[in-house]
Amino acid sequence: MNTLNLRLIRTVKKSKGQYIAILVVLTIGILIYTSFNISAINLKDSLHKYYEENNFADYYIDLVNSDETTLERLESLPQVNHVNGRHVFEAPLITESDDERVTVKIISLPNKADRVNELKLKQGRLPTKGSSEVAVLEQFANARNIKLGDKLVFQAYGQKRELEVVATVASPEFVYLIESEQTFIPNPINFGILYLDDQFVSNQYGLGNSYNNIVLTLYESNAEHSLKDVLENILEYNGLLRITRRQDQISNRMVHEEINGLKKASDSIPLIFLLVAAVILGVMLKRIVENDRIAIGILKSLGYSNQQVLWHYMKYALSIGIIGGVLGLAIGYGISGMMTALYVEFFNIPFLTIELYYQYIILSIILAMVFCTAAGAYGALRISYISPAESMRPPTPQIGKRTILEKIPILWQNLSFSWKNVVRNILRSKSRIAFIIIGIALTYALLLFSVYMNDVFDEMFNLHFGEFMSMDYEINFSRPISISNINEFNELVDADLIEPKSEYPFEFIRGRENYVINVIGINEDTKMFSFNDLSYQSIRVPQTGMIVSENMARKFDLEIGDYIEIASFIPERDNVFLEVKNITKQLFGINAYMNIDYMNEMLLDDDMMTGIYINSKDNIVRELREVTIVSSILSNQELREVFEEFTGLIILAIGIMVFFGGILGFVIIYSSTNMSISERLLEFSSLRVMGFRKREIFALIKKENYILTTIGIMLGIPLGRALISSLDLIFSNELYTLSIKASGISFVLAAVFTIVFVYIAQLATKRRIEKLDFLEALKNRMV
Amino acid sequence: MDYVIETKDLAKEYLMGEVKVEALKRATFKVAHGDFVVILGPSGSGKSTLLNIIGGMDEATNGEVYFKNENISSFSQSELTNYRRYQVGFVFQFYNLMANLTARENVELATEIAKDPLDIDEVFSLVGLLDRIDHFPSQLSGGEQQRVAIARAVCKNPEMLLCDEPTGALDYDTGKKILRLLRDINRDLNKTVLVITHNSAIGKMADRVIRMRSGEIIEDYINKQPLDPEEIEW
Repeated sequence: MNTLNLRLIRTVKKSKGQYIAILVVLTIGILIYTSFNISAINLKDSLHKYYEENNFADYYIDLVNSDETTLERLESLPQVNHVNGRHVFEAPLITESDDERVTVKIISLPNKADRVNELKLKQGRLPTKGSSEVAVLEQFANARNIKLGDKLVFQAYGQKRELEVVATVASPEFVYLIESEQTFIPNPINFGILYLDDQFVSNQYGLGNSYNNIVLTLYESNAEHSLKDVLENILEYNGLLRITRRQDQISNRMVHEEINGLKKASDSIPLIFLLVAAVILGVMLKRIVENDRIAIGILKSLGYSNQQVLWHYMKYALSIGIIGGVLGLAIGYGISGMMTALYVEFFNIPFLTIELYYQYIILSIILAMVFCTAAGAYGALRISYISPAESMRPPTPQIGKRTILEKIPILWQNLSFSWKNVVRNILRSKSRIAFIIIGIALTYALLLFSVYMNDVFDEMFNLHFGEFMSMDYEINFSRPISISNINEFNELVDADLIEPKSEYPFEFIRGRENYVINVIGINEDTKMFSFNDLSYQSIRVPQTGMIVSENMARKFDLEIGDYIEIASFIPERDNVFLEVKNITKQLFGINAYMNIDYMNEMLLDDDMMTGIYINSKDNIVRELREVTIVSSILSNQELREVFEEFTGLIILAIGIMVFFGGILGFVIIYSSTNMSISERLLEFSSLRVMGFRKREIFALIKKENYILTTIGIMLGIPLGRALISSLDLIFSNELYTLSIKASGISFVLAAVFTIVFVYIAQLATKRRIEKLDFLEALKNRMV
Repeated sequence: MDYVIETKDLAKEYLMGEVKVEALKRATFKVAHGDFVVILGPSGSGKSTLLNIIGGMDEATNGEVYFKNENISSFSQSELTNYRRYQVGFVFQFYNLMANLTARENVELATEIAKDPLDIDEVFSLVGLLDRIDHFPSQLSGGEQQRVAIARAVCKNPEMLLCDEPTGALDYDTGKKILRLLRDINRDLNKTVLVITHNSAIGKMADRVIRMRSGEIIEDYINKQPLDPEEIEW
């Protein structure tokens, strides 16, 4: 091996702690980058393969009724490939426990080849024509331990039906199984999908070919132009309720939100790690070059060219880039496999596509090299300016100046010697100090962010399902009934409070923007909702006009006093314009709220309700068991419990984030303290000669670190806040709004974590002070 | 006559803060091939500056330096690097060995880039350190470290050795041994040797002595009867 390389390897060995520290940070950056990116692509590929093989629908149409002619007209459209009509309705499943409520969505299986949303058979066979057999969605079957041959009883249209389970299936329509946009988290014990034969459903309920749901696929799924207008025209007299494009389909949306989240995270988090690694590397290399002044002079005097010497030091940086890049890539690739497998299982995607993407291999290595080259260049470029003759002379001492504090005699005179030393050192080596403070601030911000993430979903759920919607139960009916029937429910259940609700999807139109949003009609003096405006002031349901959720206002660019057009799904009824009376904070879902009477008057025909809200300590499920009009019961308490189970998954992710954040803090303090000790060897040696004890010298470093950590944390607070609010902006969408403020305890916890990591890093550097041979340091003239 | 080095009106000015310092003033002299030259002068007399300029380590503000009739003052950076690489071997007062390389590796550092290097083992046996060739500098005495430094300079097989106070950090006896070694290299390997020192006694072993003060050459003479290093005392 060439002697210079040998020297390099020995230099690395001598400072291996720092070398490894930088390597770890860089590796983490690259591994997050590759694992997140590759997982996102693998997940997307697995999903799309599933969609393609199983004819995932391009359009979902909810309507009052349709017939064969309508379907034929749709099928004859040149862009349309397949059209399926389906009967879709929700019904309670009768279980052995009286206290349990289970809602199933019944979907009829069209008797056609090339079915849209074709099922993936996991066990058994599909129901035969006309039979009372049922195929159960896999997630639901697993959660409830439903086996082939089991009997299921559900109740719909006033009749109980017993079905025999003949299959468990997966469906591209329900990779993420949730009851509605608002429930957000899968709860497969209480909500599932049953597939029944089309003829059986038609005959049993006298529905014939009058489908209330149509799914269709196009020849070109990604066609830019929308078919929406055409579909609306054709379905004008069918009581069109909602047209949902593939990209807005809830399950598909949720998976894509996750994919996008991964992509966004992989664009931002690794950058922090790579930047920190690069800065430490640059500073460290600069120090090595400064310390190696004479060695550089010798090399030049021996006849080594500037480029050769520069290259010698650049190799230090580039070796970290290459090793870190390759390690990060290898580990990241391994992790991406595990992550994809976890995702695919979580999202119930029966295909697992794991591929190595060459562009990410190249990008990762380039990324690592770019940061390390920049760091190397920053640290080593000054080599060119070192004249060999100059370098042989001892460096001119730094210009000594009085620090600001020294100009305040009262303060300065009252400081002990060691404090004076600490203050001087802090105020004199500004760039190093700035680096430590920024590093600590970043660490704190990352830790705060991690702790906050732990809090945020918990908070959001409690706020949404406790304060914003304070009802105990939400009951939905299988068809609208007159509001006057509410008294009957008062007699049926022992409720503290019952309020009617009317909930329908309407298409909102403003300028070029149009979107289907559920409008909820409630009592003007409702006790079930508590609306707060954007400045957190309580607001009431207006007599006329409506309240819209914050994300709806954002989507349509609405302000209070604006009017927005609402398309009616009732045939031959004109669109109406309604005034936005207020904008409310809402964490989950996108909605508009109106006085129920006003809603019925403006948008519907009669004084009808589609469900009720109940506050009751009673077991509502048991009491409403025999009420045939009830199609589903949602319990807020139950939703919160489901969420608590779900958080187990999140905690692991948070743990990893805290660990990574901690490593960052550790490496920053460890590296900078090490550098500081090297730079101050002569000073410390002189102090030892004067009679200072090792622990007194170490105390100087500790004091300095604690001051810097305190300042770093103080700067980290606004930085962490900014990080959190940028997260709000990036991740908020129509499904949820992440606008929760971090709690006081989060700030404290993040500070505690930061201090712990700083303390550990400090302990790791203590050894160097213990081993300090001051005599050697004072006389050493070797390079 | 064949001159290895020829300087004409060599001058060097520094700016120390706002003060202009004239480190070297119009230095003109010649060095013949195979000469053992000692440049004498007290601290601050400009002798190190002169040596650095001759060695292509520093650039003159004015004047010219010729190496074998080639004007090195007009050399580009890469030509200067080649000049240092192939023609010059430096020996410093504080040896300046790489601490994390063994004695042999320190020398290899130089031979790896040389065109026609000498055999390392032969040179180590010449400097009397063959048995310590695999030691690290911290395991060697000052005199031994200086021998390694000399081996490093000689092994490249340069035209001349430039030695900056080579005995300055050594005791009397060790210093004499180093001078003997330099003398042997000068005579046996036929290398031109320039030694700068403040120790005027060393002038007695030179073929030629150049005396400097305050940046100027005040005396330049040929020593008719150079003494053996063992014969001189200080």
